[in-house]
Amino acid sequence: MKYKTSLIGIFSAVTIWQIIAWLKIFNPIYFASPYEVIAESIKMIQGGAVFIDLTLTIYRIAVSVIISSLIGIPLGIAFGYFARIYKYVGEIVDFLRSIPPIVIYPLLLIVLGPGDSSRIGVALFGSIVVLVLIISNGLFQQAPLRRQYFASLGANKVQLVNHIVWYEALPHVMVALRTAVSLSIIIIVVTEMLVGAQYGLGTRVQNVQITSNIPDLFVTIIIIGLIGVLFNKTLICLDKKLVFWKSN
Amino acid sequence: MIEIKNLKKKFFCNGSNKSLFSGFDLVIRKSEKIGLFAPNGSGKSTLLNILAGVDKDFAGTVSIEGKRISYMHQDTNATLAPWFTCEKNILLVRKYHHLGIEKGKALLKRFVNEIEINFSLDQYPFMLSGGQRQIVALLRALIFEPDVLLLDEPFSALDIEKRAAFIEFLTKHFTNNLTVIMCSHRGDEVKSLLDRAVILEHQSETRITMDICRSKFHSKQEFEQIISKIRFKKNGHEI
Ligand SMILES: Nc1ncnc2c1ncn2[C@@H]1O[C@H](COP(=O)(O)OP(=O)(O)OP(=O)(O)O)[C@@H](O)[C@H]1O
Ligand SMILES: [Mg+2]
Repeated sequence: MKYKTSLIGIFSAVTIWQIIAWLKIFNPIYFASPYEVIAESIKMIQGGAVFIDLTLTIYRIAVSVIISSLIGIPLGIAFGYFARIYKYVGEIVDFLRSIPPIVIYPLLLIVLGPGDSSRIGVALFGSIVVLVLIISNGLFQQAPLRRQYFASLGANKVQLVNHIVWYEALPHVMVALRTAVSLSIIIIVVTEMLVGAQYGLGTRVQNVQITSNIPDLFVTIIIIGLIGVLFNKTLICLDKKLVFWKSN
Repeated sequence: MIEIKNLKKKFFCNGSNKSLFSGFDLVIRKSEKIGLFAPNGSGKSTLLNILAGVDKDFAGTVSIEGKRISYMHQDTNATLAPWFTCEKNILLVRKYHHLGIEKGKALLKRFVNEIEINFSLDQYPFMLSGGQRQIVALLRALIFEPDVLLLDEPFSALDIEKRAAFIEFLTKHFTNNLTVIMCSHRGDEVKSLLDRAVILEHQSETRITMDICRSKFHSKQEFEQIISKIRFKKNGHEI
């Protein structure tokens, strides 16, 4: 049922897009029609080079998300649980969040060189700050009764974290992860566009300046959008599974 | 023994301090079974929160003797862990007190048979009705063989049949050494479980208006007759 309505929506959007192309509202040199896009994507699939770009971009995003989770989730939980720490670092984290992550790219380029590590470094900076901020703030806002109650029943600190705090944090972790993923996608693609990546979807977009292959550009943009959708849908599924007590 | 001396408790709400207790005293002897009776908002739950250590924001001295203090909170929704099954919720507290889980399972099975619980404890708390959750919370309060038991309106959501079953059950499990504090609105329900009743009243502060001990009566019936008259309506109590 849900799929049916979504499909109708997508189909209508593509139809309107095709009609706009037919009416030549925009100059056809810069505006690819759905038909051209489909034809181009078949060509790209047969050529195969796009898969290298796609794999590398997804790899960079995945590495960023995994490493930032390993650092950001425990930090966020610690800051949120020990409300006293949160009071000290809350403003600092908020300040760091206000810095557009991309501005530290030049610095990382100097320190780490133009390879993947500087790209992933920027994504890590952005994602970790977002994870820490959302998770710690979420836990900080949580009513303390359940924690206090379980402590009064005799649970020690470790048991409290394992049995209560971790689960109270989980819904916030899922929200934070979704934000971190979209941020990582933006940062990875943008840094690919900026400096020295040989492969990657960002590089592919950037190359259009040389090749002027507009349909290729359109397909690449759509692929980047689909990566976001894929990550997002996976996380939503995971959220329903892991945070089952909330949806009920 | 439980000793509350010169207890002061304020709540800060709407920009002003509201004083609930200011110099409240109460002594409860070891193995006493005491009922706290008071109308809504008199501070029964607040008192139990303080005794159990859930609420640490108070002045005065509160000392409570006991190796294992068990507290059944009034809000069962907020004090059960929705991410664990009911059985796990119940048995978990034994772990906190280094008591065997296998023995706990056997004990729980006995409890379930005695009260004739007709729903599965493999469910998660959010799948249960309010009354069923209250039963789970009661079982959790009893599963780790406490020596002090604090019960906050333990039967408020139970139907008459389950209430009777639980009162029979508790009569059996209120062993000689167990100290009990139980909050309630009505004396007639819990009279057989108690040997002392304290009636509280909140005017500008909460204080004790009546303290009835079973030892002062000739017979158990006489005591229970008095206790069963305790009940609260909208405007104060009649006794
Ligand atoms: N967190 C809080 N903030 C402000 N006021 C509070 C808070 N908790 C309780 N109070 C106030 O303290 C008073 C006592 O509340 P308490 O829950 O202890 O009453 P109670 O005797 O248990 O009532 P009931 O029979 O309804 O359970 C109430 O008047 C309430 O308004
Ligand atoms: Mg209460």
